[in-house]
Amino acid sequence: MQVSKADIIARLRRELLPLEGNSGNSGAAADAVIKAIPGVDLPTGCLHEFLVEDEKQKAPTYAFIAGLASGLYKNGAVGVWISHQLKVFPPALVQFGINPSQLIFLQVPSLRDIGWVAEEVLSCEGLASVIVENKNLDFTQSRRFQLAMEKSRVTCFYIRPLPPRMNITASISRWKIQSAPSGSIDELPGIGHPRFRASLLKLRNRQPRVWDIEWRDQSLELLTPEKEIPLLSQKKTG
Amino acid sequence: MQTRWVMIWFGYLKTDWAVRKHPELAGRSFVLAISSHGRMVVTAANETATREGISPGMVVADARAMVPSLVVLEENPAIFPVLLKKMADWSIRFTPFVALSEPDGRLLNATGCAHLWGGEKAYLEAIAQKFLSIGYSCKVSMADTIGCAWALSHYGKQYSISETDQAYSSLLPLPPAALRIENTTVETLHKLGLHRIRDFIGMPGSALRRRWGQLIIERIRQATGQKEEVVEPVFPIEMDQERLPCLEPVQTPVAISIALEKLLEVLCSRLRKEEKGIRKAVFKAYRIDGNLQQISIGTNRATHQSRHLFRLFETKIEKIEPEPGIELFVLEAPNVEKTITRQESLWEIPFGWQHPRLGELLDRLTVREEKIRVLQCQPAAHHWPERSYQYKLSLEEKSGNDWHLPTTRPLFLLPDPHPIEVTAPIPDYPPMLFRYKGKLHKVIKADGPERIEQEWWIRAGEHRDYYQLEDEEGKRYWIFRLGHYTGGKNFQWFIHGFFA
Repeated sequence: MQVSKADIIARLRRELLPLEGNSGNSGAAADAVIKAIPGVDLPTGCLHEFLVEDEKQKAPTYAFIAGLASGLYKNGAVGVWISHQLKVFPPALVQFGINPSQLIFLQVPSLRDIGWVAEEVLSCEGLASVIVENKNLDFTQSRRFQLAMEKSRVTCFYIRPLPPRMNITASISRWKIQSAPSGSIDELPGIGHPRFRASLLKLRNRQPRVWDIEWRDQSLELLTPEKEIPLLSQKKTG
Repeated sequence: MQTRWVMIWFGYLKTDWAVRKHPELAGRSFVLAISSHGRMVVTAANETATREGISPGMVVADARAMVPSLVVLEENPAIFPVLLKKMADWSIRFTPFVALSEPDGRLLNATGCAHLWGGEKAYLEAIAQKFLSIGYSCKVSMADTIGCAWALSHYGKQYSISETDQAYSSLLPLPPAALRIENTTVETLHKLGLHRIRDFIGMPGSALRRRWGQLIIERIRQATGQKEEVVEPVFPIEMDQERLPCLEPVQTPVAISIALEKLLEVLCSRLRKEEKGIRKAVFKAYRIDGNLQQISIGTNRATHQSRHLFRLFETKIEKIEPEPGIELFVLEAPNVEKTITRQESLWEIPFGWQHPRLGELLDRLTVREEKIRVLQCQPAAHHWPERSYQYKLSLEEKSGNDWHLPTTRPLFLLPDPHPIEVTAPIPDYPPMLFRYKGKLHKVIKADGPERIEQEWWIRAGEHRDYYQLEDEEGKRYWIFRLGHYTGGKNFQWFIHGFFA
C-alpha cells in the first residue's frame, strides 16, 4: 500500500518528540504552591473552597481568587470559569492580574450539570486554574473533584453560598472573603486600594485565622502582619 | 476496475405489494385495475393470472370472461412512487449507489462490492433472498453495462451473470426486446425473422438506422459498453463515508461500538493522509426491518483523532435501538476541514488556545450537553460599560492584550442597573445615604463623578454620572445618576455594580 507523504511526515514528527526530551508531561505548575499570604502556602492541584454570605457580595471573593491565581496565568495558559449565570465583569479582572482573554467562560444553563462539567474540566491536564460557581458542594462531589485533580494537577477555586449547616468536604482550604473599609492613598480623600477581610476557616495543619489584606501593586499585601485577629462570630465548621 | 452493474427486476412488483397487504390473495389469480374511459383496465396481473393468459392492458370484462374466478382490486397509483423509494432505502445495504430503473426495477452500481458477500453469485443470491423474505420476487443479473444487466434480468435466467468484458457475447442469444427499444421496432424485427440479437447486431449501423432510427443504434452501443449511460443515484454519494456491512445482524451495544471504532479508524487514517479533520460526523445504523438509527457529533476544531471521536460518540451509542438487529453501519463526515499538523513541542508551549487537549475537552462537554455555552471574552471598542467587552462563541487565538480600561470598574456588574433611593447634596456631590433593597447604607467614602456619555451613534439617551461609594461596612458600590440636575425635573439614581 502506498504510504502518503503526510503520513511519513506525521510519523517522523512523532519520532522527534522523545528525541527532543519530551516525557509527555506538561505539568506546568506541578507540586508548586501559591504564596497566598506570608506563611500561608496553598498547594496547587487541590480544591479550595470559598464561601459567600451574600450573592451580591461576590466581588471581593472574585478579586481574592484572581489575585491568588494570577501567578498561574503568567505563562499564557488558559483557565476555565464555570458558572450558571455570568455576573463577573471580565474587564475588571485585569486589575487583579488576570487577562480575561485567557479565560474560557462556560455558561451552564442547568445547575445540575455544573457538577459533571466541572469534573470533566478538572480532569483536563494543563489548565491554569478552574473557577467554579455553584449553589452547593457535597462530600462525594468534592471527593470526585479531588481525585480528578490529583491526576491532572489543576487547581480549583470553588465558590458557593455559605450553607446553613457547614458540611464536610474534601477541600484543602476553606475561605470567606469580605470587603473591609479601605485606607487612604497618600492621605487623600476618596476610596483607597481594595481591602479584604480574609477568614481562613480551614487549612491542613493550621489554626483558623483572619487577616486584613490589601490588593496593592498587583499583589496581596498583609496589613496586620503579626497580630492575630480572633475569628468573627462564625458558624461551626466541619 | 471494471464497473459492474446489478439490475433487480421486480416482475410482479404491484401484485406482490397487494399480496403483502391482503395475504389471503396468495396463490389465487388476481389483477389490479384502474378505470379508464368508463371501463376497468388491467394494470398488473399476478403470476397465476399471467399464466392463465391475462396481461396488463386488457379490459377487466374480457379477463373475467377468460378466468371467471378472477379477483379484481382497484389500484391506488399514489402508492407506488413511495414504494419504489422505500425499496431504494432497502437496497442501500448492498451498495452506496442505488438508482431507479422505471417502472419496476432497481439498478445498483456494485463495483467492488460483491467480494464482501463472497463472490458475485452469492451477492446476487443475497439480494434476491432479501427481497423474497419480505414477499417480493425479483430477478437479478449482473453485467458490465446497464443495458446488458437490464437485458439479462428481463430475458435471462435468475441470477444471470455476464462475466467481465463479456457483455457483447451474453447479449447475442437474447430477443430484440431486451435492448429496450420501441415495440413497433421489435415487431418488425420479428417479422423480418430477426428473432435474436445475434441476427442483427453485426449489421452496419447505417443500415439499422435507415430502417429503425437512431434509438436501436444507441441501445446497442450502450449495452455493449461503447457508449456510457448516465443514471442518477437515489442517494447522493457522500465523499467522506465508510461502510461496514455485518454478516449477521448485530444487536449488542458492544458490537455497535466495535463497528463504530473500526469505521472511525478507517476514516481517520484516510483523513490523516489527506491532512483533513472532522468537524461533524454522522453514524448510521441500518436495521434489518428497514429502520434507520443515527447519532451525530460535532467538534469545535477539526480532528482526526479516532480515539477522541469515539469518546464523543460513546455516550450516544445507547440511543441506537438495535431491536431486531443491525446489518449495515455507515459513518459519514459531512463537514471536514483542513488540519495543520503542528510541529511545536507541545510540552513547551503553555496550555494555550490551540492546544488539542483543550479542543477535545470542549467537544466532550458540548457533545454531552448542547446547551452549554463556551464563551471567550474579548475587549470591544466601546466606552459604555455594558458594551466594553463581548463574549464570542468561537475559539480563536487572540492577542488579547489590548485590555485598556480605567481602573475603576467593579468586578461584579448587575445585568441591568437597579433603581435606588439616594440622598445627595446638590449639585454634583456624591450621595450621603442610599437605600438598596430596603437596607439603608451610610456612605463613608466616595469618589467621582465619572461621566459616561451614551454612545449616540448606537442609542440616544442621557449620560450617566458614576460614583464609587464605600459604606460603613466597607462594602464598595458603583452607582450613577441618569442625566443632569435640572430644576424640578426628576432624576433617578441606579446601582450598577459592586467593587472588590
